[in-house]
Amino acid sequence: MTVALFIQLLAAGVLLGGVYALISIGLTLIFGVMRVVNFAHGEFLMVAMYLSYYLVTSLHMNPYLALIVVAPGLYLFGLLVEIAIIKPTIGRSDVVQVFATVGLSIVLQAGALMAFSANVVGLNVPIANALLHLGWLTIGVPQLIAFLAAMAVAAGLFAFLGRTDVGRAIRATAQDRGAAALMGIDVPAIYRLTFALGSAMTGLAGGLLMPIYSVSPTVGEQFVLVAFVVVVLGGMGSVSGALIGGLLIGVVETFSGFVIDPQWKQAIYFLIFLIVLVVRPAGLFGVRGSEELSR
Amino acid sequence: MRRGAKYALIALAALAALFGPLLTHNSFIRDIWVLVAMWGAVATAWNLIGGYAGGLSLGHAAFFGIGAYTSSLLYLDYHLSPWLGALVGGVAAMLSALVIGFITIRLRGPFFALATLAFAAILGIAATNLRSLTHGAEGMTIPFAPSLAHAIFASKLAYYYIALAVLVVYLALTWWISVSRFGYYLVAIRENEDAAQALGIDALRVKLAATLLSAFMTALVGSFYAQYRLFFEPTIFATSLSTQIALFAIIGGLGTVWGPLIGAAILVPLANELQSILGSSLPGIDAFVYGALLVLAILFVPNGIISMVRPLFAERPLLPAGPVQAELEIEACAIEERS
Repeated sequence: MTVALFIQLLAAGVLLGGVYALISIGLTLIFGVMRVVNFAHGEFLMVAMYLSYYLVTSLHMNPYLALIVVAPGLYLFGLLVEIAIIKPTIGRSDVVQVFATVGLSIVLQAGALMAFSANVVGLNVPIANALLHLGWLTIGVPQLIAFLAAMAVAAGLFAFLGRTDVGRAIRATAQDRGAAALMGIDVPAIYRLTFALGSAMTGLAGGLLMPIYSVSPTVGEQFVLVAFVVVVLGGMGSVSGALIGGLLIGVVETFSGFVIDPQWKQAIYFLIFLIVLVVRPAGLFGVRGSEELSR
Repeated sequence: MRRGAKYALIALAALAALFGPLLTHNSFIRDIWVLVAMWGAVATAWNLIGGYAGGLSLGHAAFFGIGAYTSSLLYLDYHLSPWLGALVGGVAAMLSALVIGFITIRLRGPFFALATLAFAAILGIAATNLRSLTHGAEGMTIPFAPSLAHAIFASKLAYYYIALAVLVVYLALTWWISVSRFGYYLVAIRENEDAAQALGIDALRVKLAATLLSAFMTALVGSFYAQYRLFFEPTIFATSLSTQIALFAIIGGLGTVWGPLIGAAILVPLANELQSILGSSLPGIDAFVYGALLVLAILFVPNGIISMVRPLFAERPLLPAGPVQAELEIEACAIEERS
């Protein structure tokens, strides 16, 4: 493998990883604060992608301008789902928590099948195929935009969680919901906000993915497993973990797709996933104990 | 009187199970009888680890698929009778459960679910890509050659009574476990793993034993499925199948002998009916209604349909849960203080 090829693959991997990170940040934020694993996360992404698709094809919006609608749209969607389905599961058994969102994913997939049929559709806009040539390095423009947006979103989220009062309240709730409630934090309101915010980030991810990938009712399935791998690798609940985990998985996927058979690349990261669970279930940046390991 | 009602109901169910499929010649309805018995058996197997031990597996499609692939490959490539092939498949599933068990058994709740899900996903990718062994995405086709030795039958009734026999054995086994020391260990682990450990239960070993047994039972039915349908694809490892298996048990009633069967007996015909009534009008609407019903059932009847039926047959009125729970907690505190 030449140096040029190595750098080309690395660049492609890092860009792909940025997208994976963006998909995973919402999932890990929601888990970190609410201890809820949203098994319908992939379907949220699917909803966002369809919303973006129709804004672009029907209203002829620029796919990146459409984000101004898609992200708030998913914020609202997340808010409604939280009130209707997630809130009633808080404090209930694992069975209720896991299978309420599993059921939701069935409903959303079937709903998309009803509304949009099983056809795979994609955007046919000039920017989708635009390439950037940096010497011998070639980079897809939508991939680069998605990557930069992922970094910006992560930075924005860090600033929000670290510097604002609401952000501090969210972190306090994540650390100890009982103590947070005693300090006068409205925990149910924080939960609503967190779930809606996590959904809005998934909305951003979906909108940014639309110029790169095509959408179908089952598109969530291919991304949700990657998101779970990234989130567990980085440490459930850790935003920086999701960022670095996403980049790692992107690079691993790109290289393993090149060195081994592309067909096997998914198996490789599931294998990594299982190895992480054995060696360090808290993930790279997770708090020990968050993985609820038996002693 | 109430005890009488309970036995009358069981006798009625037994009669229906034995003679029900004979009352119709409609092969669509007979197919539903076979599917209820088959999924009832798989859900009963899942219930051992998912219901009694509290390990929410989302990877049982792995064991189901291993059973189907093992018996079919041995039959097609080595002409081994599927009756024996199913047993080999069961052992293969146990070996895989041993491997995955070491990885996942210490994980709890959603983490266990995710790890088992990844395990089945890896097998699905392997089945798609190991083309020389599994024929890849085109799937496995077993030629239709009816004979007892081939475990292929022209009549759906033969399949039905085989599935029923398996189901009865699984139910009996579950009942026996539920009243045995092993079953109490499992429930203790589910309710509070740390406390169970403290009482001297080797939680990891007990859970591993339940997983192995559950894997074996699931794989046998996987072989049955292959012989019944005579065709399957790598999608047999799909997460949706694992979810389906778990949902039968959950909707029926987790950690109960009859719950998984009740779940399958209600959901299998329901899904079929929804598909035949609504499916043609708008693709997806059947799954939409089905999924919505599942979400409602999980939120509002979390202990399963059996929890709605059970009070009718209680020999004395059930005590309200609150005070008993409180009493137990006070007792637990007292024990804690003493130790």
